[in-house]
Amino acid sequence: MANRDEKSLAAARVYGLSLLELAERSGAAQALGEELLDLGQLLDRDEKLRAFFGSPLVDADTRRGMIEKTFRGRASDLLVDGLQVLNRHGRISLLENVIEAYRTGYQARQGHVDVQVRSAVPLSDGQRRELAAAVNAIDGRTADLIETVDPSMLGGLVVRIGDRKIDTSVAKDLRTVRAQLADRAAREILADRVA
Amino acid sequence: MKLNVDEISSVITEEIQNYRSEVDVAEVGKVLEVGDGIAQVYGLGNALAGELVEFSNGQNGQVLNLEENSVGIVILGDYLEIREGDEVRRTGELLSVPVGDVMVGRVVDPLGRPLDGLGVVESSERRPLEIKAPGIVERQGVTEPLMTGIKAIDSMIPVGRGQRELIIGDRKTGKTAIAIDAIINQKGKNVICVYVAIGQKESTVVAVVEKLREHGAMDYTIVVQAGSSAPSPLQYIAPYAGAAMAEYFMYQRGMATLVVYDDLSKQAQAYRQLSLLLKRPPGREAYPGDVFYLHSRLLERAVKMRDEYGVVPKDTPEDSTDRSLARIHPDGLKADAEHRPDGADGLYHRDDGKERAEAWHASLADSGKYRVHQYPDSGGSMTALPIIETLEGEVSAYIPTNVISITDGQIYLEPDLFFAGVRPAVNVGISVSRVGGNAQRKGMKKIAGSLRLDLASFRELEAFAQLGTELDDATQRQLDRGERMVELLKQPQYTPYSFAHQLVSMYAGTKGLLDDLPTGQVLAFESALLRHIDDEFPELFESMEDKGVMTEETESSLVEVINNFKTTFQADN
Repeated sequence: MANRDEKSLAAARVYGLSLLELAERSGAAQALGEELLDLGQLLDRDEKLRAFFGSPLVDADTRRGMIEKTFRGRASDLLVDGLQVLNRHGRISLLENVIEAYRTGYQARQGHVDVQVRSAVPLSDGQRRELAAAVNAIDGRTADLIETVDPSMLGGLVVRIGDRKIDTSVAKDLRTVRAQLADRAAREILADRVA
Repeated sequence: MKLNVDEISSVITEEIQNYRSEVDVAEVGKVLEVGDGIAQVYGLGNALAGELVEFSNGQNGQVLNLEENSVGIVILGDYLEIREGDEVRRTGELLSVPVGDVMVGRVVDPLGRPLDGLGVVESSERRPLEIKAPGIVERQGVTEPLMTGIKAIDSMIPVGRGQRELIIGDRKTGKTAIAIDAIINQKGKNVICVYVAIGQKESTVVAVVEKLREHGAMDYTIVVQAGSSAPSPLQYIAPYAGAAMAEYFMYQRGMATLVVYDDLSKQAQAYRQLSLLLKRPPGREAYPGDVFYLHSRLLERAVKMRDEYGVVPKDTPEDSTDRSLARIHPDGLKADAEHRPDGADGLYHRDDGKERAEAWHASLADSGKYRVHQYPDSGGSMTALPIIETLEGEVSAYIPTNVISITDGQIYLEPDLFFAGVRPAVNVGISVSRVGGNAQRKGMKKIAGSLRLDLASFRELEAFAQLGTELDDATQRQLDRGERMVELLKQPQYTPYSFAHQLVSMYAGTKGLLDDLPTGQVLAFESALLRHIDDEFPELFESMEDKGVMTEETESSLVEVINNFKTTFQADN
């Protein structure tokens, strides 16, 4: 899990948004975004790369050379320069947070929003369109759906937009019914005892 | 009993048929870390300070810290069941507890959940845990006594309704005993009592509840219990919960209430624990910066509310609380001083409000159609008896000085006195009631007014006399009197004295009627005397209880009764 403490998040946001601004100026915001996404996936997959960026045992000079050797020419100059700046400022360990900050920043400028959708069965294309339209209607932004299939929900949808969660699942209904039955039973037992 | 399968399934079918599926919209966050009763939660950007939140396993929490990307939440319950990544949802509500008549006689935890095995607490009403204390306009001065039934306190350190009187002392000096006696003494006086146990041993609380039940005090008492094994957030909110339960009776029913916080030093420690875990900066003795406010906002809720009168149509029911029925004086606030109402709404609520309302009513041409009405939900009070435990008599520690400065006086208990057999072990010299004689009935004020100073000078003389010097007669007499007064102020636990009993007892002592008895016989004589008057001259007690003073007539017959009884008592012993 990426680092979540206040100060690192704030620092990562500064780097992420500066990168975004630079990329926008040269019209490469989307391209850089894709590159960063790939880099993020690579980080997820490759433990050694993660260790290389994250470990304080690798000193900045060595890291600078390594970044130059591995990335220059294979990635856009902006990305490599960005990595070097992060490295020079000792913030390279925040790379994952920077990528996330870039992504959310880019998304916000495009008027998009992450929408997590959980459903019992995979959604059809029609349902996706309907859902996206519904999100647009309540939120005003375009939904980027992140779907998960969770058969234990039995039916319905759980949609999460930012901090807001909309739960229409059958599992939730059953939980409520169970609570109501238990409540009723408790009441009746008490009534019997009093009578 | 045979299991009725059909009936059960029909109940379930009915329940499901009636169930309307509702879309559940909530704002949620995610637990980042959890430990020691504190959870850091990512998200919940719109959460309010003090808001109640719910964890995915049904446990509740309270938002205390709002940070840039996360919120700090105290978990009100078992935090071991909460894991990293769990969902937390806002409820949009502040913490509240169930209140009402159903709470009386119950033992509950600080969230109002029953602990006494007597079934669910069915209450339709709730009150928020934290409210802002009433301002000066809504209050009146403390003038009405709240008798504790303890001679040493009612005579020298009187407690009034709406007062905050601190009980302070080392461990095992009888602090709880005083509070419990005060509760027991409220029997039949229409006072609702709340005993809040914070960080106490469960066994102690069981014993207290048992004692209260034994003396019939649970009929008007609520016990709020957050034991030493309860999570610190529960110990922290317990006093506020107790206050909220009492406030129902004070604000909605206009009743007098008595709340005992036993004890606030443990509550401060619980608050220190969770503040440190929330990474709030520590201050003196590692308490957080707002530990003073922790106690001041609680104790400020102890109050004597104003009495409200209005001139209302004659057919208004006695229990009406509808302020709009009051007839408004045509001249409003510009009316003559004798008739002037205290508010633009036509209500009379200052000191002589009743007299002014009556005067205006009498002056009305159609006065027959109206009457003066006292609103039954006005005039309630909450008396607070906070308890603080000191270490080695150290009253200048942080928490004791804080609470001493907040309260209207303190009852200081000393281990030396306790082990010397002076029980209640009240140190009269440094115990005070800042409300003082205002909260005493006239008769008691007259008789016991100088007692505190007399006893203090006795203590000084006593120390001097130990040097073994020859004493003149006057000094010797003062010493004898002092010794007998100290003896007279001893009182066993669970035996509250009525006002008249205290009055007679104090009268006999201060007027020197006991000076010719051996010190060892003072208590025996006192109880025999009171029993004798109860049996033979009950009218003396009745007159004192009614009038609140000892009339000259009563006084002379009392002196006679005491002297006669003394002769027979001395002959018998």
